[in-house]
Amino acid sequence: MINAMEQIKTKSKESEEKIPKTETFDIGVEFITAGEKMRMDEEKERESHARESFKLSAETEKASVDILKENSDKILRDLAEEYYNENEDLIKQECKVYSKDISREAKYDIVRNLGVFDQLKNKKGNWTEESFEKFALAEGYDELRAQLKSSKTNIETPALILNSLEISKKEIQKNLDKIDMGSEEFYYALNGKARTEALKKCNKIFLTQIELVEKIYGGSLLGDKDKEILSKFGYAGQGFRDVRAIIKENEQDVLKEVKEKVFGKDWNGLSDAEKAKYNNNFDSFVKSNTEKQSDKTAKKYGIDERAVLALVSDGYLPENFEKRRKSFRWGKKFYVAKGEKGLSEKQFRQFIENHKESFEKEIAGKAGERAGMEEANAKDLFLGLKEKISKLAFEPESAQKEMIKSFAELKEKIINEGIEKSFKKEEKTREQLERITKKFEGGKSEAENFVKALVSRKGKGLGELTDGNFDENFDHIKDFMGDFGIPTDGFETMDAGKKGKFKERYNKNAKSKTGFVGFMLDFAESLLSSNK
Amino acid sequence: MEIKTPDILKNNSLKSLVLSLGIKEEQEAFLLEKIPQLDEDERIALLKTLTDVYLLNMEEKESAERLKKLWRN
Repeated sequence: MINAMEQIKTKSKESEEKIPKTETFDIGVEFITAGEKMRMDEEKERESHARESFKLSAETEKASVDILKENSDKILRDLAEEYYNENEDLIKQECKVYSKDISREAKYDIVRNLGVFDQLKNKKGNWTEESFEKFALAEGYDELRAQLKSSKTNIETPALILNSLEISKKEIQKNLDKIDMGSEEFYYALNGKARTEALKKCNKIFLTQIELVEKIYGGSLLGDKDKEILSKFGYAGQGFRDVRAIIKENEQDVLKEVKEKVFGKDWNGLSDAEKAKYNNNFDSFVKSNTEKQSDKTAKKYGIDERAVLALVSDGYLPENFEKRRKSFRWGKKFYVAKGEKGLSEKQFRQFIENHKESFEKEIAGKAGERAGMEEANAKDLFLGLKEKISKLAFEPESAQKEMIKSFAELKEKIINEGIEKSFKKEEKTREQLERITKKFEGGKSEAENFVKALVSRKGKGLGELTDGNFDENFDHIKDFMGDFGIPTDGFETMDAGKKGKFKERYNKNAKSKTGFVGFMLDFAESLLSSNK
Repeated sequence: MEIKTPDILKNNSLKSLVLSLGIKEEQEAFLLEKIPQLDEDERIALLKTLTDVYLLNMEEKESAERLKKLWRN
């Protein structure tokens, strides 16, 4: 309490400076008062704050929209097929369908054109309660898609998408797990391209779900290393990626490490100006150094970049790396090391070949070993995440708990901001306080009724509001204000520009709930002020 | 002639609205204590804030209903 009081006292001066109450901008150009503008900005800010944390990445948004559409399409087509099959003879007769085999899509078109979905929408016709629910679900998914496309998502939307995606994923997984019963050996029923496509889709859903869970529950599900593993292995444990391709990738990583081991120290010892000669690129430096050793003569004996790296990493260092113990050179005689006996050309070729071969083997071995370990980690990571996501995606209580938390945070923020704005005056004198106390004592729960009536558009005057403009509805607005003791005669004497602005604002915003409520509150404020 | 103060801005009326919103206890206690000291402008500003919270309460209720309606296991 004390803190809140102190906070209000210190903030009150800032607020007074920042928030002019009814100052107007240049008349003739803009009639919005500073107070009105502030209110509109706040409404926008509140909306954007409420949804900001739920904005999804473009990729996740697209994947979600696609899957929701698929789910909605599937429900509608299932319902259409059910209706078609039950009424086939009649439909064929009515719609003059002559073909024997009608595709699922054609059945859907026929049933839709017959207006059958209107029955489901209005809960009429010979349908079961379950069918009505299915149709409502399809409509709900379309609503979620519309929200995503307009970037105005409700707080519960990410949780609902997570749930819908999980249903799709389970469905695809079921197909992936099916065994080919016609075969004596163990074979999946889904194979080849179809299997790859299904795995890709699962992977996409899985990654989308990770982002959704992070949006809903906050924090991060994955560390940097986890992200790397996941992007490498995807929907792990399902043969999503060919391990041979991963080994090839790892070979490049291992090779990079060898280069760093061999040339890293020399690179780090270069000045900035020297590094600039290589465009600050370590690989260019390595290339330049290995090229020196694998010139035209060297190439003749099979000494390429790999051979140089193999030899150098084995300690056979070129002449210009004299500080190290071993060296090799070529020319008339071939030396593999200082002081060693010269080799014949044939022996030298073999020497290079052997080194290259063992180097390649070592790289491949390390890459394979690494891929094995990574795959095991990826499986663990994948299975853990999969279990966690499935649990959350089927647990409405968790989603609801998070929603309650989000709303509580928003409410707390709004009240705190409101406190700062409402209590902006200097401390009042005893006389002022006595006057205030007397003027505002008593009262019934009219404020509550006022707000309830406004929000629900029910009550005297509001029930009669039409979709028309301000002038058409002014009498009803007057009735409503009058019912709560707010005098409306001030409107007649109001500045023409201000009047026009109110009318314009009403005409523009009255159809939305927040727009209407915001307008009415500002209008009431203006009417009360004009009667002071 | 002084215009009669509308009931919507009176102490008990605003207090009743504050109590109906289910806000944090300390915020509620603070507002209840301060309301009698507010002048008309401050009361209107508070009414606007409380209306925002009321709207948010409605949104929360609607969100829970939509969640229940579209959730599938």
